[in-house]
Amino acid sequence: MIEPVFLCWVLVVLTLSALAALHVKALAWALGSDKPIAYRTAAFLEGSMLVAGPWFLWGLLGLFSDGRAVGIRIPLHLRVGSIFLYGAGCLVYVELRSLLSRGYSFRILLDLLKSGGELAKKDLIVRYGNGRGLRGLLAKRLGSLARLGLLRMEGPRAGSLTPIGRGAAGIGWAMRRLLRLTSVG
Amino acid sequence: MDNGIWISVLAGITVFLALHVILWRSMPSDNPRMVLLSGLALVGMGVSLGIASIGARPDAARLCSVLWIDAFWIILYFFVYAGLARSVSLTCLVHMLRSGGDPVDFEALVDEYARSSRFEERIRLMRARGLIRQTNGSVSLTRGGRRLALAVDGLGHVLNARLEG
Repeated sequence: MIEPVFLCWVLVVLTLSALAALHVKALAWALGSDKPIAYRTAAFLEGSMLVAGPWFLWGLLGLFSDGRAVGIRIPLHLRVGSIFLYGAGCLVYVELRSLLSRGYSFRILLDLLKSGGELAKKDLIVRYGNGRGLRGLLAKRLGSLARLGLLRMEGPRAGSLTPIGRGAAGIGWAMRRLLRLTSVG
Repeated sequence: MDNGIWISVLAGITVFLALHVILWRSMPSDNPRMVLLSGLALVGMGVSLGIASIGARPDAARLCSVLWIDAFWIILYFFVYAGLARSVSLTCLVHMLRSGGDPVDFEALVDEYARSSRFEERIRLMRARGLIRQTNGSVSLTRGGRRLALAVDGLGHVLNARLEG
């Protein structure tokens, strides 16, 4: 007889894997075709993973809430725990994608790898990010912050901060001070 | 759903965060110390499981619920912490806030970042982790750094992620 814990684990992993696989497939389509609809589909699927996925999983787990399906009963606390486990899996996937698309240290390693394993330090700075340099690094970061609504780009000037941007910056600054983090990115 | 599970989770998270803040304030360091933070997270989870086990015969399903809820909050905090410790975006935001929140010239921002020690610090950290070595003004990959670079490149291809940095 399958334990409820094992069943929950399987359902969480299957749901997360299926949605992640669909997202990766959509990204492959987007990168290959460069069509706006492909990028929108990929973004929709990523959003679905975070929003619709937990609802779908809750419904799926609910089929086993009374023990009539295959003799397995999943108690309420285990259903709730499974949603949190799914959430943890989503966080790991999202963060992994973030690191693989904008990881500062990873990019330095890749630049070195593609240059035969060695570079002069001044060349490493200039060639960072496939030749885009620190300028490209900051441009990408500021562009993302603008898309997230944290600041406004005004031509060649960055800023001003939106109220949400001020809040995020304030909290970040306060937490860095609380933890005495002085050497930061 | 009984309150004991939420109390266990809250107790464990509180212990984790309290130890984290006390240690980081009493022993500041340039190193993000992710291994130590992971150790503190395990202590917190242990506290959660211990409290969840009090009073009744430990039930696997109940303990798993506590563990999974704990795992979510701890992983969430790890990502927040990674941003605090190393995020260039957050550094840009804080810089703008401390400049009064007004627009700043992009080229001036690039110039200031290039003159700062942040790139040097990143190189130093990677050297300390054994990923690169630095000799006479040049930087090279160690064996471990090459393996990690290949793994990142491969994983990026599998997940269709373009590493732009």
